[in-house]
Amino acid sequence: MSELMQVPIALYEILALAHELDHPQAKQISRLAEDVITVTLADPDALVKLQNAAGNGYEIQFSRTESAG
Amino acid sequence: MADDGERVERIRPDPLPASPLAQKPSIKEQKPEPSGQRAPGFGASGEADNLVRFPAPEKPSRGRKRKSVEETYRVDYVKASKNTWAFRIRWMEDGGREPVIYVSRVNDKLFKMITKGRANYAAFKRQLIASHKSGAVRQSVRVDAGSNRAL
Repeated sequence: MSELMQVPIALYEILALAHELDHPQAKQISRLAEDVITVTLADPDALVKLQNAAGNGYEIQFSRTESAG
Repeated sequence: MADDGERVERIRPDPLPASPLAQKPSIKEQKPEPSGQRAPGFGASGEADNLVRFPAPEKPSRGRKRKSVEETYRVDYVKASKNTWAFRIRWMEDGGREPVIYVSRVNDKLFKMITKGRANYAAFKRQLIASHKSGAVRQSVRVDAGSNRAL
């Protein structure tokens, strides 16, 4: 990955790969990839914000909640 | 409601004829103050010599209406080869030049996935433009379309 604008396409690539997986957790991966794509495309500045946050020394952590299935 | 009606009658510049309500002696008729156009010595119709115009840029009467910077960016795709599509960003520069940046090549399956659904594809395009404009792209013109990337 070299440029920020390639991230949305890379997310679709992940989704396409997940569709091809023959694994019991492939559907979970697909759902996660779809959710990430939805969130990313909902805000045009989402990736820019992430990049700026990382540049300013912040990091983003994902943590599993109790309600997660 | 009646008060409002009276107020409307008072400020109406062209009163209705023979309206008893409008001719009440208690209602003070409000005439608008003469504006600059109607002030003595500044009449636009009679004394054109005294008219002083502010220097304002004249609107172009001909030619296409200029688009804003936001509108000049657009995302489209071209068929790069068999079973391969390339997404690209283009924008209009002052001299009429349209530089192009190729974002990435995708195969047919991925292309259909991305362009499926009008709203989804519109959001995808907005995201590409926003990412490009953020300054993440340091190369001014990229023409290889990421051909070294595995599909």
